[in-house]
Amino acid sequence: MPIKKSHIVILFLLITIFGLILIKYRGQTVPNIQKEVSFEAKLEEISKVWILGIDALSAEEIKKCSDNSISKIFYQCNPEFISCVFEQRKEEGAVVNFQKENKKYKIYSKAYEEKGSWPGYSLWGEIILGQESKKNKEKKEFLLTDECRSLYLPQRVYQYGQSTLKNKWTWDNIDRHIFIDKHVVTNRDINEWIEQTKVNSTEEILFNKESPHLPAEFLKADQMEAFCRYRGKKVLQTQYFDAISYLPFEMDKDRQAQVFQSIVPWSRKEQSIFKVWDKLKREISDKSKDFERVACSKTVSNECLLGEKENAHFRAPSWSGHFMVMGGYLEYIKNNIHPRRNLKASSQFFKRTSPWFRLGERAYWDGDGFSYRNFNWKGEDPLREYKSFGVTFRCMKEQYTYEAL
Amino acid sequence: MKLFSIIFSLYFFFSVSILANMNEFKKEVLNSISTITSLSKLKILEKSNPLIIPYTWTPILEGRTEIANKKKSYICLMYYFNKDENKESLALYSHSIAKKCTQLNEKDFSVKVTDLNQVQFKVIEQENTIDLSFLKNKELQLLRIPFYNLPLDLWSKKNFFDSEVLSSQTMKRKYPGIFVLPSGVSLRPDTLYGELDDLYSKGKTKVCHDFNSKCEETIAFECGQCRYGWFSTIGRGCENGTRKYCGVDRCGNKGEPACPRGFIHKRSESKEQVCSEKSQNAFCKTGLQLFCNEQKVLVCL
Repeated sequence: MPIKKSHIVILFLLITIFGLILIKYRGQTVPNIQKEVSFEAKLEEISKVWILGIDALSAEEIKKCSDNSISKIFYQCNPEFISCVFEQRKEEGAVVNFQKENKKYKIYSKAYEEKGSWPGYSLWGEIILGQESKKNKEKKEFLLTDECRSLYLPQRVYQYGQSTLKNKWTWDNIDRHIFIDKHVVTNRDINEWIEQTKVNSTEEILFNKESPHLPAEFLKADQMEAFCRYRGKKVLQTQYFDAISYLPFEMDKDRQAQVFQSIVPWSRKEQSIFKVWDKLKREISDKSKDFERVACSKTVSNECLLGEKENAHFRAPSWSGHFMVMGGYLEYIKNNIHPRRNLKASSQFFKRTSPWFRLGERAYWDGDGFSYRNFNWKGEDPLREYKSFGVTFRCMKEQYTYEAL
Repeated sequence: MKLFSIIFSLYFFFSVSILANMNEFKKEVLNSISTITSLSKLKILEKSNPLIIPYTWTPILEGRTEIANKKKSYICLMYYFNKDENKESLALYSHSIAKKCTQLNEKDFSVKVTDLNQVQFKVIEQENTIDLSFLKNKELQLLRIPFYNLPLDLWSKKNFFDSEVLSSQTMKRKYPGIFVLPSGVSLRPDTLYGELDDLYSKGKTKVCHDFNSKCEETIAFECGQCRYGWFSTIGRGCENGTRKYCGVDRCGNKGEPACPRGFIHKRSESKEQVCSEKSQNAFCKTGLQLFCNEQKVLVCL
């Protein structure tokens, strides 16, 4: 059958119509400023909620996803919290989803993904733009990294332990990038670790699921290490703990020849804990303030109220912004120099005039249990024999200059 | 009438093709460039710019998308100016194979658009965004490209150096805390090194960053591929870096590498003194001694 001109015309028209249909249904993948603006608006919204926590929420939202008796810090970079917020904020045409693999949210952890995963620790999410009824939707996947938890340790010379005339053990982190967690690990963190990884521990991991905001106090030392690995980190070591605790004398010099030490995180001058409190009492009596409240705002000891003790881990920042480096909870700190000095003992178990309330003073914990016999208090025993002594911990990380994630 | 139908159909056919191609170009450019993690070049697009050579494909933007050291995507946005016809073209190279942008051929390009006019780049510094605009068939095309994964203070730096792009924790991105994934990236890595019980003392740890005796880098940093982190060792005395191994950091323990003590101490010793039992550059647990082994690593015994 000979091909007529009309056949050619019809053929071209068919191709054209087909092409137009193709473009229309691929239209959702065509980038235009409007769509990118929508994605960017969502990214900005997500970033605010992630970093600011409850400060980014309306009063109504705060009630649904948080508890106002808990410190704001708990809600920053908090996967549970952000997934709750965006569950409430589902709007037609723009959805932020965190659910994946039948979980409420999905954490990628290099140490634990079965087939391996490269982000050190990040929360997966996606933005979906498009009407529910329509087939073509646009998606953008992202990862949320924990930028709230840790602080950068300034590069300078530091002292480990208490210095004497004979012993000045200095070290420095020049050209090294060290990040140290602001506060100790919470029960929420442990619960997330167990749920996300189905972690196989030879011994049960003890924590209090009912109080997610409180510190996790009953992990053994090897379990602490395992948790920090999940976060792409390791348990904090003593020389770094000292670096965030001692108040530097010459802030403008990072390579000072001599490093002097304070005995408390908030003051340089006094050399005796008694003088520290005496001075504070004198200052308070001038201004008619309550001594106990002021003292407990600086460090939490046995004299402080229960509420202050419970929330100690989110309070009293040191010079570097790290919380409760003296007082509050017992804290395990790995010691690569003197292994039998691995416990920050200044805590709610002692009066504030106890010798433990001096930076650099450390007791010993065997890492294996929480009864009296698992500790060596070096003669300075707690006020009474408590049923158990909970031990908290925090993580740290060294990062090379160029690590994208 | 028939002739008119033919011409009309041809016009529609080619319009659709051009439109599809333009859309494809915009989509590819947006997806590739917005998620780059390092930017190494951005040229001011002025025809009077002596670096823009007519009749030559010139890279105007060079970057890389890198995820944990392994998954990389190399991006070159290329520009071509036909001086005689006063026509401009743009093309994109986006591939996992590293190639120098100046050595690309047309067959390397993922997408290309031609017959353009007034191609312009405009940097909106405070928003970490660039606006790319041009005319095609007298119609203005505007592409707003945000840099999601680059630091906000990028524009204050005069030279773009990859090594200055620090990790997510030290750099403020356009949207803090967010890393936007390029589409189509699988979250399964190539390889992760190391097992939990790998010990240096048993010779089971893998080197992930190394320098030779002349302090030249022999193994580029790939410790991001270490499943359980990495640790530095002291002994080479190189100011530009240390040998690093994949594995759990057990420094200071018997048989394991000594822990680093710092730069200040390193500076005070000669290279030979760095790896000696009296070195001040590293330390061990109380009771253990420093020892320089045959690998020029200070270990604790």
